Amino acid sequence: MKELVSYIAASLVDDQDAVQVNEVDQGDVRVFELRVAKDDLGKVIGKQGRTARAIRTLLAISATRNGCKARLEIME
Amino acid sequence: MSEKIKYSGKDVTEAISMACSALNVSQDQLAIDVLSPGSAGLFGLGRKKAMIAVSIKGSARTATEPAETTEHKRPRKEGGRRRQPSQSSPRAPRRAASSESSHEPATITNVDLDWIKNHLVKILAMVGFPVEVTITSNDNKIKAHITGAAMEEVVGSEGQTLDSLQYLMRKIISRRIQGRVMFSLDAGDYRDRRRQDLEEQADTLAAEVRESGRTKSIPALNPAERRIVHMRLQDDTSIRSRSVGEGHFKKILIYVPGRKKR
Repeated sequence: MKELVSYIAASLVDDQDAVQVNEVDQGDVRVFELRVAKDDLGKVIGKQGRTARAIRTLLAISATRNGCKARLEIME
Repeated sequence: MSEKIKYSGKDVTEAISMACSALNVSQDQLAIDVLSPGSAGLFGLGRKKAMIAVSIKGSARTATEPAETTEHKRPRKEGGRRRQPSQSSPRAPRRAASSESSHEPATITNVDLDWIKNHLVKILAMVGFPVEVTITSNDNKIKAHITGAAMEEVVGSEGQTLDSLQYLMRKIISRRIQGRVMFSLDAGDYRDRRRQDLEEQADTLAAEVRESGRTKSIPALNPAERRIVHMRLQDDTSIRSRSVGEGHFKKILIYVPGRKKR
């Protein structure tokens, strides 16, 4: 799942080396903290958060298939 | 600044782009004063044109600035409005640039297709779907079709997952391929089925509206789905369809022309 987030993020941004995903377990929820270069923030969030929402949709399905819950947080 | 020229358009952005093309300069070379921000009005009533006055920045720049500030000593309202050109300034050039590059239909090579397919398969595998993808292109249209097990999950409820994936893929593709690309993604027979459902729903509602004269609506459709409904009903002169609402998911009203809604 971590791989999924970083793969999608990396294919959307200019500075791929700056893409970083941290996994933090909070109880039964796995939180994925996504960090990208400052200039790329807009690219992973998108208009009205549309890109972020799309990534979250895919992450949620991946989580269901893994039998867990996941959350994506985009860190500034 | 002595040569301030006035332009008008339906909104400030349009007025600015008219000024830019008339003077043949880019927007950041212009000093722009918004005289009236204009208003789209309500249902076409009270529509006001936006007025701006522009001068070309440059050697006269020092002369322009003070003049601008004196001119805008008006109440804060005006100050707030003035932000509009700077707000729309990154938008306008970007639109100009994108219309240059994206108006040209892109040429798509087999290498591109393989690259796209690879991305798609990889993402789907990471989500947890071992699926097959076939990909074809026709001019600048690319169609990718997912087949395999668990198609219902790939589609998601109301096609949400499929549309998310399609959206992300469009973003990814536009970063690689210059120009206009039409990318559509299908899984199983979802798109066909959805089209049939929507057309049936449109027909049923249209019949009801014709019968009762009362307006009916279909809520929350995305642009492609709204298009299907409008296309289905466009040849029927006894009723009309219209999209209302804001944002990505508007609803469609089907009504008898000449009546107020509801």
